[in-house]
Amino acid sequence: MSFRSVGRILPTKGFLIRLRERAALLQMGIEALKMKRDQLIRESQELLKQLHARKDIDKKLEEAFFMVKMAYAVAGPQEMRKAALLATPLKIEVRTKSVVGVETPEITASEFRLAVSPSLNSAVMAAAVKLSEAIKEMMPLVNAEARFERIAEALAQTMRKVNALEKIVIPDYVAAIKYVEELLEEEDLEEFLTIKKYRQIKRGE
Amino acid sequence: MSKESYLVVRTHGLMTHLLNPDKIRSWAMIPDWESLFKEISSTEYGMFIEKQEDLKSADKVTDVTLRMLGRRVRIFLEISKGDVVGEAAVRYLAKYDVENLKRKVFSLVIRREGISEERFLPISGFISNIDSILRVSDVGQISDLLPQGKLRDFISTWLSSGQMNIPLLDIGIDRAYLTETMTWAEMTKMREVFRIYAENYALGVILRSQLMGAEREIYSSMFEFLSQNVRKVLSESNTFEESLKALLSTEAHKSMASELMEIYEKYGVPWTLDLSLFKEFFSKIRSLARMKPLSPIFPFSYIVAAEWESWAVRTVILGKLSGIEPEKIYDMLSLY
Repeated sequence: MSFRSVGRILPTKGFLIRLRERAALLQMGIEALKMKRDQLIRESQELLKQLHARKDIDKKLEEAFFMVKMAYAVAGPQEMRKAALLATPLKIEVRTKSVVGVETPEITASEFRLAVSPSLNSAVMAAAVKLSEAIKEMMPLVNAEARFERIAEALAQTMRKVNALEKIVIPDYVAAIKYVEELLEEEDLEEFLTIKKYRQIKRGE
Repeated sequence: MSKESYLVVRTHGLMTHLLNPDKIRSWAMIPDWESLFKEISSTEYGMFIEKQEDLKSADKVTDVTLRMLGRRVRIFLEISKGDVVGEAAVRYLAKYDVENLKRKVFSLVIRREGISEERFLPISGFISNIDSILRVSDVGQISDLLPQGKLRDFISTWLSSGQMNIPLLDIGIDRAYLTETMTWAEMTKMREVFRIYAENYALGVILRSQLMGAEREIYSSMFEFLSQNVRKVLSESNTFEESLKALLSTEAHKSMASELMEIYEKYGVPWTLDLSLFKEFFSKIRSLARMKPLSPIFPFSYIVAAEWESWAVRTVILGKLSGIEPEKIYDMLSLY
């Protein structure tokens, strides 16, 4: 007989000891995974608060794009090209941060300056100011969303693991241990009966 | 008839060719492109706009409006050649060459992938050798080609210093241009106009510098072009908002500052600053010209009026193209 999670069963005492050891380890694993799951849930709940800022950021971006449109109308495309030439490009640094073993990205934007010349048209400068503000304010949300995505993925994976261990693997091991114990008891009984019989024969009963 | 009187008479004639500012504003309310195209085709701009699709190209519209301005300017310069007004117009319009010069220097100093193409304003030729300057491939050649003067001295000094501070370069070019222009203007009958111009120009640089968060020492050199009163009220202001509040207390810039303050409070950014400054300059020159209709200020006011026309036409078309509400475009183009 074989159990899906345990594999081939050997009705030996050594195997039973190993099974018991593995079952105990799995139990500890479940506890650890449950702790991880709870921590991930707490982290995602914290992040949820930050994700609510999306509405404000959307509004800020809308305002910034409205300004870009205005700048285009007032200053014209050539001035926008000049602004693009003079702007210090957005430098992105991506580091990884571990949250209970889940690697989450941490993005920082630096050296971002869109308006660097006082000869730029004020409409272009206004658009640059609005856009820089929106992007700067957007960065924590970007980080929160990226982190939330990874944490949600890890959370789903952890839940699947806990469920599989609780509902399939551990019951399989418990059943396997019980099965091996029964087999060994039967073997013991058989051996006892054989010895008893042997002694009776030897005594000539 | 003296040259001055001849110019005044000719300018009256030229003024009749300009589009009425209210008419241009009313274009903002035209609901469809076909009707707008018909309206514009019936004006002198129709020479450059052949088909309705031309109105939908921002590059084409910018090009056309500046070319039209160039055309008007050329006619004016032909009739005012040899006169102080002609010289004043050349020195005033040199701001376009200064802008192109900046673009050339920036493109040679900051070479950025994807923005290799140099785009210059299609109105130039007011500084000698500017066409050759705009063709050079090495920034070092620029100072050799520039005529003797403050601009050349500044560019040479800046190049030899090896500095890469863009705001300093930018303001340095503006300062050299204004110093050279004002040195000339103070000796002529045009000093009144040019004082207004220099103050308007310097105020723009100062306010934009404050808006982008520049240190005071970067733009402090522009204070010398401000009138004593304005310099005094701005002496304690270090931020854009503070300066705007200070300007509200001046008679000369009250209307402009109050309009900008309204925009600043509504949008958080003073995006109409240039438009407001130019409107203020245009309004002042227009009223000066009305007060002194026989002075050289009247012919000079034609150049500013032509510029306003070019600016207004571009704003209407590009504003529509960008999907800005007609009422907003209409309000933007209201004169003081």
